[in-house]
Amino acid sequence: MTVILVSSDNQDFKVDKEVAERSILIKNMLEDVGESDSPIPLPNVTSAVLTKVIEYCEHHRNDPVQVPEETDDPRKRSNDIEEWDMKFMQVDQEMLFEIILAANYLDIKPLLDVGCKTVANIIKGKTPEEIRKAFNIVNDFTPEEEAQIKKENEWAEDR
Amino acid sequence: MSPTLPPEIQIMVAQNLKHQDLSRAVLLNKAWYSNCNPLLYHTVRLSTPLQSQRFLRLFVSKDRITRHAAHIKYLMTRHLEILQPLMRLDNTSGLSLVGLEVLAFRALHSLTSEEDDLLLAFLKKNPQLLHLTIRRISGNAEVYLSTIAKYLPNLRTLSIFDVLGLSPPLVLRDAAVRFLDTCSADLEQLVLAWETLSYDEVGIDYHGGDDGDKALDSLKTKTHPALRFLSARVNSDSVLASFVEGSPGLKAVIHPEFQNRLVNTPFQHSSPFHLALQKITGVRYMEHSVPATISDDRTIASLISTINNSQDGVLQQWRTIGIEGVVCGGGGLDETVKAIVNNCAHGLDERYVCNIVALGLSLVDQAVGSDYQHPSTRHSH
Repeated sequence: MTVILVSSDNQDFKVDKEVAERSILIKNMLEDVGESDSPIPLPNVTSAVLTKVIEYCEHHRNDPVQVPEETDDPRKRSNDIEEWDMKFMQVDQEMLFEIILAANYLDIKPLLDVGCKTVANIIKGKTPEEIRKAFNIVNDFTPEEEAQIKKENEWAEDR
Repeated sequence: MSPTLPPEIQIMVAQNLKHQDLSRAVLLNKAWYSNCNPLLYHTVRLSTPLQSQRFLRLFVSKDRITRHAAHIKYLMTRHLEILQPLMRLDNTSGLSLVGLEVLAFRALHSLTSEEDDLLLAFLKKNPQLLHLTIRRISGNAEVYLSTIAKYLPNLRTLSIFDVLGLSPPLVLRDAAVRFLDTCSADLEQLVLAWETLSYDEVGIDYHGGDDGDKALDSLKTKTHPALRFLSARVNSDSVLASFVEGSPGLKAVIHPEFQNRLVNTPFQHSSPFHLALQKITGVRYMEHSVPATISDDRTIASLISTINNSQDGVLQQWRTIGIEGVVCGGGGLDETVKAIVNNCAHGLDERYVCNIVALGLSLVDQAVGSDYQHPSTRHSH
């Protein structure tokens, strides 16, 4: 069985139901509507991004459903990204953010996790200025404010 | 123009960052700061004096520390002077620690009496603690036990006095029993190390008759249904036995009891501790210790060969086989390992052979851990 997804720029994507249901949003929609051929509009996702997201869902179509982790301890999280996902995430920064936003909107937890880990890996070892440059972030602190926060948080430095 | 990440996603990214990188991410802009700075303070780990000093600077202004105090959930510190200003914070600061860990101190294994006072006072003031780890030992071990039992009724994990390579502190048997009797009923993990002494041994004239049995009777009413993991580096079996009986949910037990054993006592399953384990699990856990005086590979092998599997139908599982002496003879441990595999394989499948712990010289561990092959697979090559 297939379903038709419609991107924000009105392109149709025909995908297997099993693949589309990697998105909890779509899964719930399909359950609500029941048997129906009507296309599912995704007004928040462009065709370029949807293409990537479907590629991810195709590859992971047989993955077991992820059980939400009970631990709220951030230290227990692992930063490992499997090889295919790593390659999949080698896109420009704008596309990376778009994929993350789409994963969030479509409720595809594993993709969202991989996206966040990828952003975290880019941040690692960089100075604030380097991170800002990598992500096009505008610094809205005054130099005094920034210096103040830096001083307060100095205990978190490794040395 | 590239999209920005909403707050909840910034937080998810930040959860994948260690402190050093997180402290830089909060400097990106005001949004990152307000979303992610609380996460930086969620777990405060102070292992160097410099880190402690820098953290103490926050207390210079009341406004500064109160801005962050409510976010601190876990505190891990090597330097206990940090506890003093934290205790002085009033309720408006919102400080409510979930976990405290006193980090190991290589140069100073034992807590000083000043540190004892500070730490004990801090524990009394923080009854909401769910997790407590003390990686040092104390001359006031009994005071800790009674304070923890009395003031920390919600603890879920407790690890106390278990410092690698260090003798556990001495406590009176009675105090140990009372602690196990009265400690938090919500405990899920308990790691402890102590050496119990009876009143006779410390020369106190005690008129209660056999203190152990009496105390144990009262203990049997107390249960710890949530307890999953127990590691006890203790000398007395019976103190723990009743505790184990009251913990039917136990999934894993570490109890290197035969570290202190002097004679060769192959069948330990008759000890109160193991009977208690057998009672809650339906499995008899087998341990065998070969004393240092027996050092010949063949002798050890034949000794192990004499161990039969269960004769009364109770499922047996081997947990530990210890070989304390130096093994001599040309063949190394070949015969011994073969004997282990052939005779104790019940519950020890090939994969678990690696887990056989040899105390003393870790010989079996080395032998089976590196390149030992199960005889059956060896023949096929």
